Amino acid sequence: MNSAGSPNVVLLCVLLFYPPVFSTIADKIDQDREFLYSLCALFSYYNNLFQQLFSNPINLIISVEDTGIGIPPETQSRVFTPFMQVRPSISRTHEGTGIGLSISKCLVGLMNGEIGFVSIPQVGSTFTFTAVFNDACSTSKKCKGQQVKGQGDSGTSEFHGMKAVVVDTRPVRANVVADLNQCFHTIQSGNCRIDMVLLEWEIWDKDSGLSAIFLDKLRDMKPRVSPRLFLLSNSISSSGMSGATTDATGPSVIMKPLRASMLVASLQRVMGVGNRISCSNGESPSLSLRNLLRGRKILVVDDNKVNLRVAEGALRKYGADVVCTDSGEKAIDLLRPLHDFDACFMDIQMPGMDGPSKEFLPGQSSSEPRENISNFHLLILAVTADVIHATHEECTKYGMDGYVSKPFEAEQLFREVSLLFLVTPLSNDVECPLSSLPPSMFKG
Amino acid sequence: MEVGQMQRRLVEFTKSLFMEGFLDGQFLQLQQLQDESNPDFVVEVVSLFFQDSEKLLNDLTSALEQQNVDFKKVDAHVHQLKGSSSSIGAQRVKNACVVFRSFCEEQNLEGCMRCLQQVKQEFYLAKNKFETLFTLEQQILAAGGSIPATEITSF
Repeated sequence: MNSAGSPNVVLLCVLLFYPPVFSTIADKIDQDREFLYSLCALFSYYNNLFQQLFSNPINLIISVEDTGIGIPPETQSRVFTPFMQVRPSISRTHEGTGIGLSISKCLVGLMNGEIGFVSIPQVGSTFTFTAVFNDACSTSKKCKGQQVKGQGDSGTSEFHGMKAVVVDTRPVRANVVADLNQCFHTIQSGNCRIDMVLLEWEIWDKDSGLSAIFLDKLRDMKPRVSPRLFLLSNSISSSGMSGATTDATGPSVIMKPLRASMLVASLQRVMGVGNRISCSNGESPSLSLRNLLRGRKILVVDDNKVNLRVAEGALRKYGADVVCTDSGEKAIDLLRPLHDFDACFMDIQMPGMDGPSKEFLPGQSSSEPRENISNFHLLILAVTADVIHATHEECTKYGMDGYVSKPFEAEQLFREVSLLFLVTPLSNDVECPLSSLPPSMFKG
Repeated sequence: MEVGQMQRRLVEFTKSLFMEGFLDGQFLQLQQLQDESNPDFVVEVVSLFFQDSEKLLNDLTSALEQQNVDFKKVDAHVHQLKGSSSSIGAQRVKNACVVFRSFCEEQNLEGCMRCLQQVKQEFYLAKNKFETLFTLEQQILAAGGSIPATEITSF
């Protein structure tokens, strides 16, 4: 590839594991949407990366390969037609809206590219599309001095030498283990220690008896030897857990799609490595926080104007989109359903926020977890100046996910905010070109 | 006075503020939040603090002059002042508030009155110091120089 004159061509391959069977159409629509958004996010990510690397128009080829049911040959000619669905013969196991691919085709067209696919029933499909990008930020301040090294490569050396077992039922290129028994066998019999197990959610969910036995076996192992367990899940509704667990032996949930920086943050948090946020790699602590907070929409609630301003300044510095408000009631208004906040920093020392008045807070009663507020993807952190008396239990009792001190302390902030990655994927609206497209595009 | 001299004066003055306990590490954090996209952040926040706190001090004065002093209310005000002074790194003001709160808890009126005086004193001292600091900065900028970053050596 050269930056001198001729167009640059980049080939990018993506492997996808086809999502599990759905019980409702809503699930499938969600899944379609998430898939598209993931694609857009992936797109944008590499778009940003390449725009900084290359100063000329570049042609991008992106290929997405899945291991799903494939598309029958007789229907392949129709897949890009809106509202056409491929109907399986007897058991209707897959629902869909039928517009996903037609939208994709429009998008690709807008990006001066073409889309096509190859598909073999029962093996999977590979979709490929091209797009042309122009350099849009040669004069923009944002691009100056931004280290490309820090962008794409968020690997840290803390995990060098560690061994992970990936458990998934679907045949993939890499060596994976197909079920829990095989996994345990691998852990036990290997001559090297396994540090972590990454387990597809559907395997865990399939047989709770087997999962419980597996967990017990892990717990019975010596603590130093027992691997940490991570469940990889597509959506919160399928994960069944109300939140990430920080229990030492229980599994932690990591949401798919996986992003390198997210994965690193989650692993760091649970494995307890790299607790100091000064990362090896020369990556500065504030860069780590920036990776976590960039693009996140955060609500800060504090009745003190000065504290609000300082908190806002700190979070904005790390790239978050901050909204401030000075009371619990106003916060509840802002957090009504269809809000798009990722996190809420709530001052729990505000008047009216002690004891019974904590009803304002989500999760006040155990029978109605957070029903007053739509918290589908919301991380709630208590902010307090009284860290001596603040405890994790006290916070979780009132539905908070954790606490941070006031004023913010960088390491603690990093630790608590990284909880975001254990439960939620990046908010759908961030980095997705779909939301900025005109509605007229979807006509016809 | 030429720019280099002004810069040195600023550095010395800032150092003295830390050594004498007027400022703590939180002020450094504030300075780090200031950048091209937010060039007046420190001045903004500190000004906000002084505006807001002036009002709080007035409220405190009248609260303590009541026939029946409501110590809970007094404590609430002091808590606010403690919080905001802590957010900008005004250490001596914050410490004075801490003492004040313990007297509120004891419902000790005389102790509270003394503390109010102490807090006011620290408040106006701090205001003075900040004004000097910002003036020095302005002078340097007006002369075409740049503000030297506060170095964290041993304070």
